[in-house]
Amino acid sequence: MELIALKLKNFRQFYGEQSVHFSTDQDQNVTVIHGSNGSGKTTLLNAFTWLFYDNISLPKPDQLVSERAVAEVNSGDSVTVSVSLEFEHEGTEYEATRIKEFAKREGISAVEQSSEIRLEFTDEHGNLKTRSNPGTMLNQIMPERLKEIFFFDGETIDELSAIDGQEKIQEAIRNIMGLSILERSTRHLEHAVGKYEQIAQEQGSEELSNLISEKQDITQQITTKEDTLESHRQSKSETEDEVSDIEDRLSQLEGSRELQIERDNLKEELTDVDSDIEATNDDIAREISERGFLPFAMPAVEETGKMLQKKREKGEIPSDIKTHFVDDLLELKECICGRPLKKGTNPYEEVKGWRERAGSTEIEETAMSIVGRLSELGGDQEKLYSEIERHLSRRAQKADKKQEIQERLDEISSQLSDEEQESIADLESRRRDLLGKIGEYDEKIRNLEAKIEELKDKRKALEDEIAEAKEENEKAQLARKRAQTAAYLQSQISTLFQQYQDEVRQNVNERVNEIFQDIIAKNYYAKISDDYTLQILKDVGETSEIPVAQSQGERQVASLSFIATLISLARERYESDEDATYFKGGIYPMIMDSPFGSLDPTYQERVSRMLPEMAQQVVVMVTQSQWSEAVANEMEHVAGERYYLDYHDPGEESGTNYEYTDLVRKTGGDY
Amino acid sequence: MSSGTLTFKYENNEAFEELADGDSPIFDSRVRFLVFAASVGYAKDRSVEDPGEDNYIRWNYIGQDSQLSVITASLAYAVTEDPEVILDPHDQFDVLSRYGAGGARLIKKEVVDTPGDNLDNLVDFIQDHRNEDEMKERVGVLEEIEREISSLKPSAE
Repeated sequence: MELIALKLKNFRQFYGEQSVHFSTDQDQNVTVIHGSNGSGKTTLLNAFTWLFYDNISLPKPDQLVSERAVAEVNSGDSVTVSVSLEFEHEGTEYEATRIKEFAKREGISAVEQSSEIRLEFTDEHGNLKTRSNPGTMLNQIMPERLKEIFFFDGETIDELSAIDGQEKIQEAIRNIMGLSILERSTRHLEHAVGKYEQIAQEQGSEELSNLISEKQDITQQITTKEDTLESHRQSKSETEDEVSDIEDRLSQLEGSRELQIERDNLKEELTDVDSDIEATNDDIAREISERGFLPFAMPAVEETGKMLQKKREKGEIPSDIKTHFVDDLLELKECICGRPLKKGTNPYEEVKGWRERAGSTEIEETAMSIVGRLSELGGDQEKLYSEIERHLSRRAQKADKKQEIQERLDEISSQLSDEEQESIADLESRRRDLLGKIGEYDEKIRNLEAKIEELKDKRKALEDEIAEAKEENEKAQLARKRAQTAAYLQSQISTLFQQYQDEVRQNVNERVNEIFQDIIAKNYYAKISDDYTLQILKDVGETSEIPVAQSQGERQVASLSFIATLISLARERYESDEDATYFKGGIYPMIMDSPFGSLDPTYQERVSRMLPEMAQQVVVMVTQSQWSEAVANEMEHVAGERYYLDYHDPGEESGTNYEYTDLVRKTGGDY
Repeated sequence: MSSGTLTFKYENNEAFEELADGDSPIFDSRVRFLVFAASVGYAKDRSVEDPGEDNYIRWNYIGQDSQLSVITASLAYAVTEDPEVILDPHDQFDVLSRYGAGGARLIKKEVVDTPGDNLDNLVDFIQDHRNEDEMKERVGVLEEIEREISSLKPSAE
């Protein structure tokens, strides 16, 4: 495909008729469109997608028609919006046009009245003809699924190398290389096998029917297990990506590792100190609970002690004779000397007199119990104060330590940036957990693979039995034979598809890396892995490689290398004389909005040097800042056509109430 | 009724809840706090003539603890000056509840209601009552009394 001219009419801010003629000069194959931010570069890219797919990725996608064009007609009048592209494809010149008619309503609102897409071509006799299936034809020439490849926005192109870019990469490889045909064939054949087996089952003997049923059951089991296997592989891959992200973060945090370790240790120490302070408070409380009353009660104890001392001095405690003993003698009416004790007699009164001097057993026991603790209580009072002082001193030391730790923690916190506050220990713990999960996935994957192999062996044995089963019914015999043939073909095409796919991926891999390394000066290389992830790697040792932390610029270069690879391989294949049954290739232009978006000046220069070689025809849309001196030096001499977007701002220009953009061809000098 | 099964009522006070209840009380039990409060009440001459009877305790919590029983008996004697009081739990508890109520009210004001941590306030309260000289002198006196009486020899006439 070669672009010739793009014509716009009242499309969004492109008021009236505007056009771009693309450079078709092989030596100056680049068309540059300059425009400041907001002037309409992305709108121009969307003019292509609207024309080809009726699709727009812009704010307010329904507002197709130029506000100025609507404003200039009367209410009820119609306004035409159209985009047409003249191009050459496989030796034939085409003009594709999408037209919509709008009727003006109030203000600048307009309602769509009709829509049409046309694809005209000039046949070999020079006659102008129209294709009856313009949408399908345009989608075959530029498949919609690949629109991000053909019409790409430099600011989002790095998404190809993101995790969810795998599907886009795989899709792009299969489509642009024509491998989708093989993939569709295997699906159709699988369907055919099922259909014929069903007939054989319905028409055939019980034995054949049972065997087919068993085979289908095993096939279902295999499909389920393969789905689970794929899901585990996907989960494993996502977990590996997360590990990789964590490792990147850990690597970025390496500089703060020592501070973080110190912080973690201090936090542990702080917890210990807090526990010590708490334990010391418990000790103080215990001391108060057990002895706290002593300083207040000791005068009373002293008085009691003195009272008992007086009793002792009086001989009441401990007394040499007990009231109980005297009472017993008086009750027995006989003295210990044998003399009778009769009330009113002298011996009786004498013995009764002893009672006055005798002490009671109860008071003596209580007194002895009190006395026995007097010095202990005195000592305990002193101990109370000394122990409290000891605990308070210990607590003060711990409080000083706590203060010291907290000050150091504040200092560390101020030394670590917000990003560096993220805990290395937490990240490492998360990494360990994830590695454990990866191990679990590996085991599940191994088990499933073994089980699938086993089921496939069983199915093969059943297929042999099905082939050999006696069958009288002719319809069943025929259906069985057809199912076997379809299964054989499916297997062959599937193998062929896999071979082509591996071969293409290998070719793409080599080319992507060549282009990538030409642009990236570092010792990195780009690779499309077995699961179609576009990765940037570096060697570690002789046999292993690891993904590197990629900047947005590096991802952008990797994606650009991939797109350039597909376009160049498709072109080589198209121009080669090799058998092109499945893969005939094609010639595609590269149409890019802000291809230097996130690149630093070195990469900008290298990319701009290589761009003209990446495709037969290159269209780039750039802002003034992206058109740096380095870029201009590389591209000016290969730019066969240059345009600029002349944006009219109603806020800055008099005489116009609506914004609009003119496409102006540049004829020399700066715009 | 043996003295072990006797129960007595005493005046409750927020200080009991703050210092002797809860998850991490300073005092092991309400009994210990009551004895502490009564000691404070005695030392600070704070007695309540007709204390509240919100709560009760069993006498054996005091009687089974030799230290608490000595203190309770001593407080009772010091207040009543009746030697027989050391044998009478009722009289002892009468003193304990009156001076306990007085002491607890003071402790509430000086410790619980004072800004800051209860434990620190209580430590300050106890330390403010410290008198080193008096304490040393008292220890000497008590040792002497114990030595004298514990000799178990009848006194000289």
